[in-house]
Amino acid sequence: MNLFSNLVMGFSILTDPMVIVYSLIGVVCGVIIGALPGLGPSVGIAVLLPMCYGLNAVGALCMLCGIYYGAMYGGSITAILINTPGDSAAIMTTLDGYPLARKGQAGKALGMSCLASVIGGTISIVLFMALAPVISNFATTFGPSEYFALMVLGLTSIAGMTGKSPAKGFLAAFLGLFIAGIGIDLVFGTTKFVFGNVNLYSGIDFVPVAMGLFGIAEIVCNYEDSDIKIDKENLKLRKLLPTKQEWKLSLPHIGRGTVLGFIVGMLPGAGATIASFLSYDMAKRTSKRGDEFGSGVLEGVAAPECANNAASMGAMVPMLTLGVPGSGATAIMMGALMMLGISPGPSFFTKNAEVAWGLVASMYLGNIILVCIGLGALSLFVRILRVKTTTLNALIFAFILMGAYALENSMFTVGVTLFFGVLGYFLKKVNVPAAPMVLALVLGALTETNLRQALIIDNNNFLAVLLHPISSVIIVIALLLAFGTPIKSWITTRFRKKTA
Amino acid sequence: MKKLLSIALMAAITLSLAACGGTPAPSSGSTSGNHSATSGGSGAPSDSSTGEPAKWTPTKDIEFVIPFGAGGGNDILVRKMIEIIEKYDLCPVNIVPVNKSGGSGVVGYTYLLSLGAGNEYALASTSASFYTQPLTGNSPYTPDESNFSFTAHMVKDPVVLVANPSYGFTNMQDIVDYAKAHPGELKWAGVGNASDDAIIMYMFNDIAGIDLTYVPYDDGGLLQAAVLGGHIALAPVSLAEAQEHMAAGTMTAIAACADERFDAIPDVPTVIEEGYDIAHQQSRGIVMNPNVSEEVLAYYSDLFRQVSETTDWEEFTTSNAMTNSFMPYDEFATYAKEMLDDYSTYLALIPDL
Repeated sequence: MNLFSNLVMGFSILTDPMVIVYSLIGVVCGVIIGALPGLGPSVGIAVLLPMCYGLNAVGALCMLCGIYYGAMYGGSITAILINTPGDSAAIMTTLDGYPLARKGQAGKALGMSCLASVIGGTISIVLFMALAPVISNFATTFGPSEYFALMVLGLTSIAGMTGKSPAKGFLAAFLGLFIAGIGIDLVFGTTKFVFGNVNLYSGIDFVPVAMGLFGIAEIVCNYEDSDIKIDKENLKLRKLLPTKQEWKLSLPHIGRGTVLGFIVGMLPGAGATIASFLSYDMAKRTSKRGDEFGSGVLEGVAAPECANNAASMGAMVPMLTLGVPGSGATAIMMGALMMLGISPGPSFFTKNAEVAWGLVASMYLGNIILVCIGLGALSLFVRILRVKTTTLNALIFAFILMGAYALENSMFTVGVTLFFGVLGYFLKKVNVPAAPMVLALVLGALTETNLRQALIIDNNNFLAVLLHPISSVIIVIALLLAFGTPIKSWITTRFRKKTA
Repeated sequence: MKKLLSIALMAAITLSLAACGGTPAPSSGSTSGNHSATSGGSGAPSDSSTGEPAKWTPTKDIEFVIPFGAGGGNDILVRKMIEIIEKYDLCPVNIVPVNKSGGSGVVGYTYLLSLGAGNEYALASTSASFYTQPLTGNSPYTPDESNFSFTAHMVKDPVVLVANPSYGFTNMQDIVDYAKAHPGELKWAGVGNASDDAIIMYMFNDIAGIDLTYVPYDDGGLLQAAVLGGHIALAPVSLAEAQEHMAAGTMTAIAACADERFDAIPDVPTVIEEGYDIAHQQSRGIVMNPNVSEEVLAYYSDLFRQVSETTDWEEFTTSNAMTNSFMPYDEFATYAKEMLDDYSTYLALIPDL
């Protein structure tokens, strides 16, 4: 079989020990960078890119991919331990990961995050091998109207995150949508809510917002509140692995989340962040203990983590087969490939078979390395919590502000981070959840851009935008998710009345 | 067992960190100005051709403001120039790149101006938004000699006009015929709302008497996907982005928006050859604060002339499908005036602006 012989060819490349070394360096650097607040995979790849200059194509690719999924995992470490998502794809991980850490189960949450990432990654590699050469056109079937529908679907997942008070959740979501509107309008070039401040022209990025709302607000609250208890017993390797019962609860979500994540990841306009939102929402809706989501359940960590790793693999499909990068990280990776003299595109798998299948093989390798590092160094990560809270908080605060400055090399972003830190503190005091706000901020900008583009393409006919076949299916799903429960209860009550 | 594992991992992390730190970074080699020059290399630039000794030389580090993010086109260009200057030891002091992104360049240029009129140690790179943002009323400065000193013009960025193959277009006449038969149907995508991509389309609309509709994108990758998927009919893209797709037949190259045909696709005519007088291209140059003396401008102008004459620069521009078009400071100032006229004429054609 062709696939098999290709894979053998790929693995034969791995016999070069240097390839393994590059992969290892990539994953380790990726985990560290991902764990630093504000630094995500794209920054990691950009910073470490110069290391690839002297390498051959396979070695460079192995290292870059290692950084990519290492950072995807690394982002969840700080999300769980200190409630500060290292990158946008880890926002959902904080929802259940941090409550788990507060319950003294930080080790278990990290272990599940690592294993879910790896399972998600491994299944997606199989999907990648089977699908990448044949379904490259999937990514291009999505135009602005389809993306708009997908973003609407994403926005419905806010409903699952509102916590006890839907009104407060939606208040946060509308605040997020408002912040998404700030900046220069893409279509008309007019300024919106910038009040003459040039720093606001390009809008407010969600990274400083998330660091403020989650990280800084948490530090301030920690100061008033008790600190996380940490049980030495929980650091034993056996304790870090989920129990049989927990596996039973989590595995179906990991399976579904992976497939969903891979599909969403393949769409250049969506990516790992939206994949993790949708996966978390799906897990919450399908889980038997959906009500407990947000209070620290392992599935709530597993679902977004497997999805974001699957999505980062899915994003490789359009990048390699169409030359269309789906995210900042894949865009920089594509630049690196072109620098190495490989141009991704329709003929990538035939023209560069060795590189292509070597890449697949290196992904397997990277996943194995990720398990080893993830589980092996877990006890090191968790040890962070043993540092005296006051010392730890000061350090985290410094890292957050440094990360904020590094985003744009400007004090303005530091100010934005502090502003949202203060806002986040007060929101916490009045029990307004922060996650819907960040989610609305991420999705709001994308929703607007895609809707505006779709309207131009369909000559300002809103109905025509919704009637694209794929868009209408997604919109119907979104409507069912949003109004399914009330409609169902309405029908059942009416039915009961009739029988009564 | 656990202890061993963590020790091994600690070692691995430490080693890899050492590896990270120990590898020289050629792309961001900003701090080490004292690279030993590989003098006598085949690509070494000639000495000053004017024969006059430079009257002014820098005595402290120079700040090179990049008004865009790290990894973007402008950033890569500036870092390449600095790399060449260091490689051939063209400048006695360090040149430090500083990314000040945001507001399509406005943040960066505002920062440059904040360093004060007459500042001899601050440069900034320009691209289309240098001219277009002030024209759309979104900047506190105007892109002329009252606000900036034009220092040197470096490259032009030619683009290829591509079409989704399902329309069966092979030349610009096909597009005009189709557009006249189906008014309002053809969509043209480009990056940004008042960008070069938009101006080329409005020029084309104006000359051919058609009404293509402009769809702004903020991401080049998504734009490409939209053309591949047939959501968009036409788009000007860089040669690097389109080449693989042209070969595979998933995009059709219609014309080159360039001074000359591309070497890589010699069969594709230029827009001007096709009979449409659209010479507009993105230009990239270097500007400084106003009231910088003529000697200083002459020094920098000559420095970047030497950069533009190296084989490294030639290779870089060719591989990135740019046209190497160096102009000294006085020529660039005149050219910038023409560019500004072009932009203001054609931006006026954009509705609702």
